[in-house]
Formats: sequence, C-alpha cells, structure tokens
Amino acid sequence: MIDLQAAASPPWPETLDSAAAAWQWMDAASWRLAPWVQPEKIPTLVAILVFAWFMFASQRKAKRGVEIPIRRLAGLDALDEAIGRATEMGRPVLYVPGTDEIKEIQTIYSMMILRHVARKTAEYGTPIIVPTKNAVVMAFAEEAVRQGCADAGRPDAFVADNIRYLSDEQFAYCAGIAGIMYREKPAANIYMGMFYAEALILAETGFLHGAIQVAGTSRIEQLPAFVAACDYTIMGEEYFAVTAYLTREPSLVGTIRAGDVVKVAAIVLFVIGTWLATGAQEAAGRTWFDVYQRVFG
Amino acid sequence: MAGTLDIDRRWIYLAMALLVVGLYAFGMSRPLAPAPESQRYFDTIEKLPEGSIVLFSADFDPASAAELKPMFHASLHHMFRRNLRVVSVCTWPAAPPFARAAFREIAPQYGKVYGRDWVELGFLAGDDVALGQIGQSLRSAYPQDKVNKAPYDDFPLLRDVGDSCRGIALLVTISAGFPGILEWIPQLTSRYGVPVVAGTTAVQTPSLYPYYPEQLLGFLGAITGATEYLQLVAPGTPAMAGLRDECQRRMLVQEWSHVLIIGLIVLGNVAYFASRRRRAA
Amino acid sequence: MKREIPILLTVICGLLVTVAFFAPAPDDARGIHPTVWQAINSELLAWATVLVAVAFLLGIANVVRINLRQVAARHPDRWYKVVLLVSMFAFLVIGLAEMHESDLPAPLLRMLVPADRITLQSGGEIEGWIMESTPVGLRVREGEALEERVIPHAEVASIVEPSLKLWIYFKIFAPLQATMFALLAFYVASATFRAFRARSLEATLLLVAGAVVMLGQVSLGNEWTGGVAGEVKDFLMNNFVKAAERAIVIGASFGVLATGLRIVLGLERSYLSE
Repeated sequence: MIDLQAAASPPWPETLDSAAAAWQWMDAASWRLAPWVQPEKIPTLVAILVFAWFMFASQRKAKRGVEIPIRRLAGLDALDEAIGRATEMGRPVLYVPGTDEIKEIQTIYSMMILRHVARKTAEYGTPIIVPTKNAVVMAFAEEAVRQGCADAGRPDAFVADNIRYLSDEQFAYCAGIAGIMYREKPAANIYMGMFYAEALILAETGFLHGAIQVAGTSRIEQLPAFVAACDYTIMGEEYFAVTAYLTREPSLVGTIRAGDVVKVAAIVLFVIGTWLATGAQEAAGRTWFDVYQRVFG
Repeated sequence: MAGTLDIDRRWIYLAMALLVVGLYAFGMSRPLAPAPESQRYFDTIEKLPEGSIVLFSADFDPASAAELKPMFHASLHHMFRRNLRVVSVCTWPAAPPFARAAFREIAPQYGKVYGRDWVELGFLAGDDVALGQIGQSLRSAYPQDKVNKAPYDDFPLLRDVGDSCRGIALLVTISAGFPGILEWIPQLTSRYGVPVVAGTTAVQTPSLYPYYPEQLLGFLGAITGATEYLQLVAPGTPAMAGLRDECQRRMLVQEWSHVLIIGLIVLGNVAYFASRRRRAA
Repeated sequence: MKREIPILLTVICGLLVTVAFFAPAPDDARGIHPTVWQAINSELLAWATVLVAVAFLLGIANVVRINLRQVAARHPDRWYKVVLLVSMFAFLVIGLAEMHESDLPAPLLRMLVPADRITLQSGGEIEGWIMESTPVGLRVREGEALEERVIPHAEVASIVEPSLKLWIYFKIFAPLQATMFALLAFYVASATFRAFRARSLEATLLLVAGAVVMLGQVSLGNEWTGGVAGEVKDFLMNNFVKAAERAIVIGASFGVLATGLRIVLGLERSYLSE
C-alpha cells in the first residue's frame, strides 16, 4: 500500500476550540489513518474494545465472588413448573429452538438453554422432543440434549429419534411442529430462539392443545404474537440473560453486568446527542452535533 | 353475555372466512392517499437518471406473495418505464421462479432485451453472508448469469456495476423476512453507501421505522403500501390497471378484517366486564 | 484435540473476518490497493456459502433415517412418512434433471423433462429441448436421436417451455405455503379475542393502542374517525413504536455483541457441549 499523495494531506488545525477545528482534526486524522484502517469504523473498533474491557473486568469481579444480582425473570422460573406439569401428565416436553441457522446468536443461546432443559427433563424422566428447521442445528441439538442427559446422570434418557429435522421451508417446518402437537400432545411447549411469521401459528396451536407455553426471543416482530398466546414471554435482552440466570456462572453474569454498564453509557451519549442536536438547530456552519454524528452516527 | 367468553373459536374462523370470501368476490375499495414513505419509494425510483443500474432483490417466497408480488411487479414496470437497467438477484431459494416469471411477463412490454437491459443472476445461498459477498464483489458472488450460463464479464451491464457495488444507483428489495431489508442495510447501505428502498410485509413494517428516512429512503408497508404505490405508478400504464384494481380489492378485505377484529376485542371486553360484575354480585 | 481444534478454528476465522471488516478500503486515487484481508474475507464467505449448501445433505440423511425407521416399524402414521420420502426424492430427481438436461441420455430426458414447443414464423412447430440461447439462435435437441441444431432467432415466433419442476412449484408448493400463511389471519382473530382483555392498566393501554393502529391503518377507519385514527397511528408509530423498537434492538444488539465476542475469543464453548 503506497500513499502517492502525501503532499495533499489535510493540515492539522492549530487549536481545537471550535467544532470546525474538531472537524478539520478528524479530516486530517482520517486521511493519515486510511492506509491502515477504515477511518469511519474507528469509533466501532473503540466501542468493541471498551465493551470487551468492561466484560473482562465484570467477569473478574464475578469470579472473585462479588454478588451481581439479576432481577427475577418470571418466564424462567416457569420453566421448572412447565417441565413438572408435563411429568405429572405423562406427556412430553416440546422444545422449539427457533427457525434460524446455527450462526444466529439466538440459536446458539437456544442450544445452551436446551441443554439445561434437557437436564431437567432427564432428571424427571420426561421425554423431550426437539424439531429443528436446519440440519446443522439438529446436530447441535442432539449434542445439547445428549450432554443435558449426561449432566443429569441419565445418559440412557437420550432418544436420538426425538431430535428431528423437519424441513428447511418455514411453513413446512411449522406444519410439522403442529403435527407433532396434534399427535404427541406435549404438555409443555418451550419456544426459544429466532422466530418469524410462524410464531403465532405455533403458539396458538399450542394454546389450543392446552399446553403451558414459555417463549423467549429478541425478534421484535414476533414478541406480540408470543405475548398474546403464551403464558410467559422472555423478551429482547432478557433472552440473553437466560443462561446467566439459570446457571449463575460467573463469566456469564459478568457479561450481563458489562452489557448493563455499556447501556447506561449509551443512554448518557443519547442525552448528550439530543442536547447537541437541539442546540445545533439554529446554528450555521459546522456544529458540535455534526462532530458527534461523525463519531457516533 | 358472559357465555361469549367461551365462544367457540370456530365461529370466529367462520366469520373471518365469510368476510374475506364475500368481500373479495364482490367489492373494491376506494383510492388511498399515499403515505409519505410510499411516496418517497415512488419518488426515489422516479428521479433516477435513465440508464441507471438498479439491483433488484426478490427476498420472498409463495407464503408472502399475496402482499409482495404486486409490489414486485409494479416496481419492475416502474423501472422499465424509466429505462433503468436491472440486475435481478434472489436471496430466498423459493424466489427465483417468481422473479423469472415477472421479468418474462413484463420485460417484453417495454421492448427490453436480456443482457442489455436486465440480467438475471438467480439465488445465492448463504443468507446475510451472501449479501456481504454481493456487496464486496458481485462478480465473485455470481461468476455467471442464470439464463445463459454466460460469464459475468460478457454483460456490459454487469461490468458497469464494478467492485463494492459502486455502479449501483439504487437497491430495491422486496422482502418478507430474513434475509431481507434488515440485512441489506448493514451489508450494503452502511458499508458501501448504496441507497435502498424496500417493500415488505405487514409484520415487518414497524421494524423499518427506525431506519426511515436516513438509511431507508422509502418503503412500502404491506398491501396498503402496494396499493398506494400502484396508484402512483399505474396511471398511463394499462398493464398495471388490473394489478391496481386487484390490490384495491384486497385492501377492502383488509379494512373490514380490521373492523371485525376490533369488534371481537370489544365483544370480548364487554363479556369480560359483564362476568366480573356478575361474580362481584 | 477434539475440543481445541473447533475452538481454534472459531477464533482464527472470527478474528480474520473482524480484521477484514476494519481493513483499509481500496482507493485508486491514493494508491491504496485491496489488501490480503479482503481476499481472505471473500474466501471465507465463499466457504461459508458452501457449508450452508452442504448442510442440506445432512438434513436429507436425517429425514431418510428417521422416517424409514418408522415405516419399517409400521408406525401408525407410516403412510405419511412414505408420502414425504417419495415426494422429497421425486422433486429432487426432477429438479436435478432440469438443471442438467443437456447432459442427460435420451431415455431419461424424455421421461423427466417435458419438451419445449417452438412455434416458427412459418407456422410450423418444433418439439425439442432448448439447451441455450446463443447470439445466432436457439440450440435445440430434437428428434428420435435428440440431434442438436440451431434455429435462428429470426425464424422463431414464440416459445413455450413447460417445466415439471415449476408446475409442482406453482401448483402444489406455492398454494400450500400460502395456505399456511393464511392461517395467520384466523389465528390473529382468535388470539386477539382471547388476549386483548382490559385486565390491568397496561393491558388496557395495549388494546386501545392496538385498536387505534388497526383503525388508522385503513381508509375506512380514517373515514369513521375523521382522520383522527390515522394521525394517532402515525404519532404512535413514529414516536412510541420507533423509540421502543430502537431500545429493544440496541439492548438485544449488546447481547449479540457480548455473545459474539465470547465466541470469537473462544470463551464461550457451551455450544460445543463443554
């Protein structure tokens, strides 16, 4: 990478006492950094590094034994109730890990939750059925259920045929799950992961069969469907706190705390940005809000 | 009245079915005033210079075709009428037959020639990873076209796209979910600065408001948006009059479906309060 | 090593893609050329695309294994399993045949792929299989021996290319998908009737907002309310909904960022059943 136009580089400002000077400084810095990194992505890089630092610091704090409380999530407390109810009725638990691929973070989280649920069902001796929309997710689900049964000391409780790949087509998958509900009549339906339009069909079909239903997703569009049709819904960022809540593992709890700290910082930035934007409305020329937008926008 | 709390859901289904079938068979709604976002969708395409290249993405399947196919067809009519050059891609595996059928039906009406005025590249597997590939280099994502299996560089239209989609004046995506407009924005608009407009389903429409109008220049929300757009685009194009009338018919069904659902909400709450009073007494 | 290799692969690929994201953008005017990071990123993206496609094979194997076993065990629903397996392989074979029709031997071509019908300007009709459209004309296989010949474009009046694959798609698959999606209309009605009760202040606000947005969304509602419903709907969507959605998206994004960081740095291994 050879910079052929070093002579054309923007000059540094003499002082940094105005928005125009700050803008000029950013132009000069961007031009000089361009051969090594995309200048407009530097704020993103800094944000990731800051977040990573908070995350490691919070994990260290949690591992030292400092108590980091997580507020009660009713939906998660209901998981045990749901599995217990299925055991009493002698019917299986249906766990739907969402309709997205394993590369989706929510699906990865769903596998972690599945392991916990599988441990519980193995402890109670209740069958768990896991239909998947993707073959790779099916492989991960098999492993998660197998490990969950092993965690409960019941490796014999694992039934490979209960982990079923149905179809990659969204509504074929949905119809397949509805068929499982009609034929095998699960008493507890747990929906954890990324869902799309099939969410309401699944939840409503489950409701019609009298199952207790717990759903968790951070997919905004489907939250209303789950709220309307399920007994408990874990929504948005609560979903990412599930594994920390269930396991209380220090590194996971520390991650949740780091996220909360960064959210507070983000709120402070929003307030600052709103204040700057309000002040910039009547101003002419470069304003501090322009600088703010260039950095954070 | 308390008994309506236990109303068999099949009566609700029957009422909905009769309403939909009856209104669809016999009615047609009145024209709508275009919403600002639908107007901007139209204006963005209308103001493109002739010969501009549009990346036109079909991101839907038969399930959402009722809402999205009219938008897809109307957008294609609009683009060909403006003499824009179109590169067709699909990110859903079930989308290519719809896309191909639309191009084969509409392109001849404007005398458009394959290879010169439009190129069909087909489906690319990989979801948002595929979108990233398209953004980085359309040539590496699609080494050949779908129709003739000819090399990418055989088409001047595709050579004009260049790397990082520099030559693309606008991305038009008709999307039903994932991958779709919410993935195109970070992969193409934020990274490479390609302007975008979108048509989407009713479920996804609220999710687009945070991006409008800065990253998303305009959008069509569900059948309402499709109808508003067709009202803007159809005048002067007889081929679209039938499509516009069809959308207006569907709008009538939607209007009265909303009224039915609100009626059910009212009925349910009246019964609920009546039973509460009865229990209290 | 069984555990370490996947973690190592995850960390290396994650860091490579992250570095490529921040790598300098090519700029011909300044002599900044594409870096090796963009090339690595492109290659990894191509590999990811291939992996996704290969996963289909895993899925087919699972479907066959489970359903064949249930058919052999005379499961009560075994005939549905038979229909599933037969239709899966039939569509697979038909789709592959149409993709590779130029390479198929004559008997298979005749059996699996319907012939195209070309009407000539002279009024005659040719039944054959169009291989490709060249600048000179249509390359067609026709006759008993399926000999190839080129029909100049000027002689062609119209072409009909029937496709069994597309017939199945438009006559079976598309209506089935549309039917499942249409169920939503009925389920929305029954879920709304059941769930939208004014049991509390929050529930009341929810049902009032929902009703107003539904009314404001359609011209009928605006007529009945003198346009008020539309204005209230716009106010709700552009202020409350926009703000709430942004808040949920930002909050969820932090969750995704945290988990992504943990996976890329090899700290999160529970998805590997650790």
